[in-house]
Amino acid sequence: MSTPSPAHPPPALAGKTRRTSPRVLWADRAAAVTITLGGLSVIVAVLGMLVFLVVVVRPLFAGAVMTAAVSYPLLPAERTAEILFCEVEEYRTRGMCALATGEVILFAARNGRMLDRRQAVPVQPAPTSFARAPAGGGVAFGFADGTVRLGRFDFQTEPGAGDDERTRSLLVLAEPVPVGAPGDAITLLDYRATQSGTRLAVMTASGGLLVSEVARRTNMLTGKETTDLSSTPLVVPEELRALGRPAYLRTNAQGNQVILAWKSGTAARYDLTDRANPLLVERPDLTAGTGAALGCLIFMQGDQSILSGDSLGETRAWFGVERWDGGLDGRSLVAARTLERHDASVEVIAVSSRDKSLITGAADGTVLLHHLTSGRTLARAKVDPPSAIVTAQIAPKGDGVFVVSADGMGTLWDLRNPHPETTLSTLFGPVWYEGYQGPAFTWQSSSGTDDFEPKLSLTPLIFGTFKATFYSMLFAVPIAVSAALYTSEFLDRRYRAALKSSVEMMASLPSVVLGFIAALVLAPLVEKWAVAVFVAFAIIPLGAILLGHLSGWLPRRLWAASGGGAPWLHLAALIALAILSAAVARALAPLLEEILFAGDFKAWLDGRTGSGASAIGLLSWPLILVSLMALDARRPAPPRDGSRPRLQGAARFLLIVGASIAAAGLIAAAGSWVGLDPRGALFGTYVQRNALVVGFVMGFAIIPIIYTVAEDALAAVPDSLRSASLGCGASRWQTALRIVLPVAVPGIFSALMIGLGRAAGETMIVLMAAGNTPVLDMNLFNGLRTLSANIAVELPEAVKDGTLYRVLFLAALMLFLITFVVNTIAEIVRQRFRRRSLSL
Amino acid sequence: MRSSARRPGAPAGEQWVWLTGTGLALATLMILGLLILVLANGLSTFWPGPLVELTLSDGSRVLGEVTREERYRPRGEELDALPVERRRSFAASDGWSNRRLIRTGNYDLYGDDFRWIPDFLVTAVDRPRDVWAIERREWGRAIGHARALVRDGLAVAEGSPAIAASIGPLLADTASRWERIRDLEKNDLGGINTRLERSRLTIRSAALEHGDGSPQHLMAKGDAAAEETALTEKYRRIQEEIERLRADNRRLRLVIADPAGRIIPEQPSAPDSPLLLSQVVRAYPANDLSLLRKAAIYLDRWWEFLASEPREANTEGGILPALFGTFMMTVMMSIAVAPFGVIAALYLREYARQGILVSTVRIAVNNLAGVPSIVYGAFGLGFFCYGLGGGIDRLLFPEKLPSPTFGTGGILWASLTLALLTVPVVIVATEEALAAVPRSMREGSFACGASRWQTVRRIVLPRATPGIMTGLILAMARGAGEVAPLMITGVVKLAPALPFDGRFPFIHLERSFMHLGFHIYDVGFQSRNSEAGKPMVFTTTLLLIALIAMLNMTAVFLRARLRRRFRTAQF
Repeated sequence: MSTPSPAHPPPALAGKTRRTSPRVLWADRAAAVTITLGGLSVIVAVLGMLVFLVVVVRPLFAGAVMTAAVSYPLLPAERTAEILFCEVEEYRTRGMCALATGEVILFAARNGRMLDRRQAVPVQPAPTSFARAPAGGGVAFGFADGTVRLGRFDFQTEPGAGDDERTRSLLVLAEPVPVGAPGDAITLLDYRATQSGTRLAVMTASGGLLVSEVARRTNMLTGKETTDLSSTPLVVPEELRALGRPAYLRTNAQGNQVILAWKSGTAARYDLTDRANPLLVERPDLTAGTGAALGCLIFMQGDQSILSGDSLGETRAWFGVERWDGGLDGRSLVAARTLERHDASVEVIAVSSRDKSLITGAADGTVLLHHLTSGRTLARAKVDPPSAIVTAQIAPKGDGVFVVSADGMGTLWDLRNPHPETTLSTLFGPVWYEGYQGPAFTWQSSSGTDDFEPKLSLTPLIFGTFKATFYSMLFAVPIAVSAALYTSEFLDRRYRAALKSSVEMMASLPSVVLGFIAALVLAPLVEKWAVAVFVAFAIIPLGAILLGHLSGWLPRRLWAASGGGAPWLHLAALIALAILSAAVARALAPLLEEILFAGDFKAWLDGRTGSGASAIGLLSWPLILVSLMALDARRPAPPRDGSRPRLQGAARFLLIVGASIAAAGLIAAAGSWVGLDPRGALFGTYVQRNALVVGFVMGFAIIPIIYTVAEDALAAVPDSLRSASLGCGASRWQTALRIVLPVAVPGIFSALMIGLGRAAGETMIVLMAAGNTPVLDMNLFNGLRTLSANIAVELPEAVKDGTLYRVLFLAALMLFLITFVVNTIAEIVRQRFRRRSLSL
Repeated sequence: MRSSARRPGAPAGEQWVWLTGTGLALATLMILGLLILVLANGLSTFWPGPLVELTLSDGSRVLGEVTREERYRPRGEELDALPVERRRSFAASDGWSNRRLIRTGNYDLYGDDFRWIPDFLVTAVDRPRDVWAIERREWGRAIGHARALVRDGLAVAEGSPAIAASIGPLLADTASRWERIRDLEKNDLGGINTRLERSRLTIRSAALEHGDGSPQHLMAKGDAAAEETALTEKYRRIQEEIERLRADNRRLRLVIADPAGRIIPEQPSAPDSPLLLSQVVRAYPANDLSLLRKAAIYLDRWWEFLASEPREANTEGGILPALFGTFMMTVMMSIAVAPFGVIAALYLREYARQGILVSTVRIAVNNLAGVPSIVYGAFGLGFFCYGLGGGIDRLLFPEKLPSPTFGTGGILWASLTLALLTVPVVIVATEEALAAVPRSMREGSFACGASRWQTVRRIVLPRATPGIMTGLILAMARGAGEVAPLMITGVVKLAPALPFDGRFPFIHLERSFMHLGFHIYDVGFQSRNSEAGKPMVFTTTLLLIALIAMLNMTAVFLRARLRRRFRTAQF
């Protein structure tokens, strides 16, 4: 040791101060600083994970912000009635307005400076109606002469010119298509572009309602364009005609729905699935019977639902839902969602072309940004000075809102709306998605179609996590705890160390290995021998108990494990018993399958054969058996006259088993008489990769950890307690059950919690063996998807900072918190237990 | 329930002892079963099995290796096609029959590698001596009757024994030429491509730095053009060489016919030209092998498995890249985790003032070991790959953007993620080891006038080293077996290049890599034919388990040594 101040000989040196060499002092201080800083930073870094996860997740719930409004006079107030639509382009630098006169105005979106004004649509014949496609800049004009012209409205950027001149608006109209009779003005018009052509719905001045298909073909040789037109007339019944002129006509992209609506809210819904026979299937009231006047009607992005705004300020989303009392097509429009109310009449609804956001503008100048799926209001604003909203638009990139109000003012807001679809209620509660029959918990993050809306409900995943954890704990806990009890109380000490370290080694077995075994080896095996597996579950413990009863007849060294002899023999006998029981179970399985499941277990699960009685019996039997055994154990000890035959215990046991089977049979009969059938709930169709297999293998994965910690807890119980109990004449089982176990319960509890934490977060096993189906299904034989497997599957494909990405981080955060809390409880309990057992 | 001493019977509750014992027995049984399953399957995979030829009742023949057998219940339509007396025999056996899964190989001919053959269809079972099993570089295994070995259309050897006698050196020749071609393609042509790419990037970064059309940019362009001409010439010469070697290899062909007499083709699109010898990795007459030959093939396959790259979507060939990836990642993880874990533990145990705060931190660190690994994976992706990696890309590799260099999964990020995952393990183990050093020794050291750092360095750390090592090895074992976080942070099913090679800067930390655990997942679940991949998965599993068991044993051994040392150190 290079201490600078040698300890001896001290007396001679007294009085002479020896200084520690500066190098040593410096090294000491440097080490202290380094270690303190390093240690603190490691700990901070590790705990910083939590902070990072929270930071990533937070924007999900931040909502939308509409800021930095700029407003400017755009048009004279008297001309705002002529506005067909106004919108800004994707960079929000230019905007344009199309007027009913056929004029198009181009302006700077930031300050309203007029840049261009032109007559884009000829003055004669006069345009009488107008429609706009939901995305892609398509427009259609209907004219007084009964023709329709399709076209495209676009912003066109010309490179090289000065900044102001760069963007021009462009309107190209195709040749007129004579849809109505010549001279019969088109009063209402809607259209959708489909792959084959364009589908038009028109209402003419004479009251005719037509659905037309316009197909455009180009002759390859001449380059000449020809237009094919085929029209189907729809019948408007007299009593509806009596309501006056309809105000709205809407058709969807599939072209199978046409809705004609009057200001009063009365509507006629036509089904065109069979093109030759259009049917008026339903006459819903789109004001929901409130007597209000409709202010606007528009299809939601994706055309699966229709939005209505009325004079009472209500905005409703109508879903077509299959109902027994539905229209002729079996469906009826249902007001699935009512969005936040305006204080004044809803004048305008505009939908986003990117997601399920929409804005509503009211007569008092308020603008609300909603999200249809979550039903929440993301942001609100009001134009200044207040004036009715005439037209509104969510900017193409979803980063701005542009409205024009009746006083001719244009207002442009910046919009930050990164995750409109997530709220706590959409993530965890049931959500009524478009096209669904009712509210549902659905996880479906991607799909092939463009109109698809990601459905990000975490509930099925949380449910899957709990299901997998529950079944694996159900399998692991009895085995692990009884193994720990046996190891600490009955197994010879010589074997304990070796056994324990080998079990601990199993704890580090990679879970990918277990997952592979589960999916490719165990799953087919269990599928084939499903009945035998259940029989084995019953036979192995029953066989062990029976053998225990009969053990008095066996050679003493076999059962008196701690009393000399060969202790390994006992374990070997038990292993042999387990193997033998498994063989018996396998042999018995076909017979039981015949008796209980009408010969085919899977068909029985599907509900094709047999009755629910056997399921009730099987579910009740273990409960009856355990309660009977518990009752039996509580009965007072018999008098010690020494004449009791050895067989008595075994006989009682068999009697109990028999009685429990009989009782279960009775309950089953009663249950099936009442009409109970657990099939379809707890049991159901067999899927090869299912919760049962996951339970087995994940149980196997957590057995070592539960076993080790529980065994530590049991071994920590002081021997003095055991000696005292045995000395009082208690048997070793009585000692274990009444003395050791109660003392060790906190430790065992913490072992279970640690196991629980492991199971909840285990990824690879469920990923490989659980089939990955995010369903809310109690069925033991169905697959599942857990939070952890979901992260592993979806995170590599999730776009950074997208909604899915953040939702997956939320799943990670939840897992983190669950396991952290569970482990902390376990750790605190364990520390208290340790302190207590030391004081015993 | 109690018996007197003279009447030996079971004491009260003995049956429950037996019940608890069953728990242990089941746990032991499951562990043993798993190990035996993995061992038996993993070890037997490479043993060359015999090929059987089954003659079916319709006269057709099926040749292949029996993979497994099982009992099953034939379905209705299968039974309806049978004669009456057969159906009756089924009724006698309650509708059950035996069937065999035959690995027929010849995926290019049959569109499948495996076929179930029910026993009731089989009329004869034969083991012809002239059948060969051929492992190919593509299309999986070929199995058939060997007819001839052909050079330039002329038979060199005819019949199985003659082929067996002459195939060895010829196969070695073609294989070495094939290796040479691959070497040229990968290293020489690959090197040229790398240099071309680098000069393109130089132009781009000159443009980014000095502006488009600046003198530097133009100069870089000129340099690149000159280099490109030189490289193109070199490229052409190498390609000529490759063509020459290919032509040589096209001269030797092996004529093998399946039981129906169809020649196994070179390509499915060219059914008339027989298999090229250069496509063959290994060929042997499966039913005509001595035990010694079989053992040689077995060992050779193990060597191939350990020392070569995978082929056939990872279901054949070796796992060298995965082995290397696992090793390198584990080493990098250990390098990252060891100092930080030890420093943190030293701080907690030796420097921090013990109190509620420290014990709270201790519990927190302890619990982090129980946080699911996938959570670390998500963090690694968000923080390391996208956060740090994206930052590095913007600073150092702007010319390559938007394609990421460090801003995506890679071995560095995967290692750091695993280091974070295992740092609690190391901290806890180190703390325990430090706590186990008797207080008296520290006090003795202080009493001799040593400073705290001196005490830690000379007294505490040496005693604690075995414990620290144990923790580190346990952390390595955990890290080597983790797959879930790697799936997100940089593991791929097939890495085009190792993270370590002969090109500057030799260690490519940004590269994605292969991993044994992920290999198991990938081959078992993502491959074209999981049945064909299963043997490989078992072997890989065996290897992974062996690796982790080895690490664990080392830890156990160290711990035992630590305990012994301790006993003597106690005073």
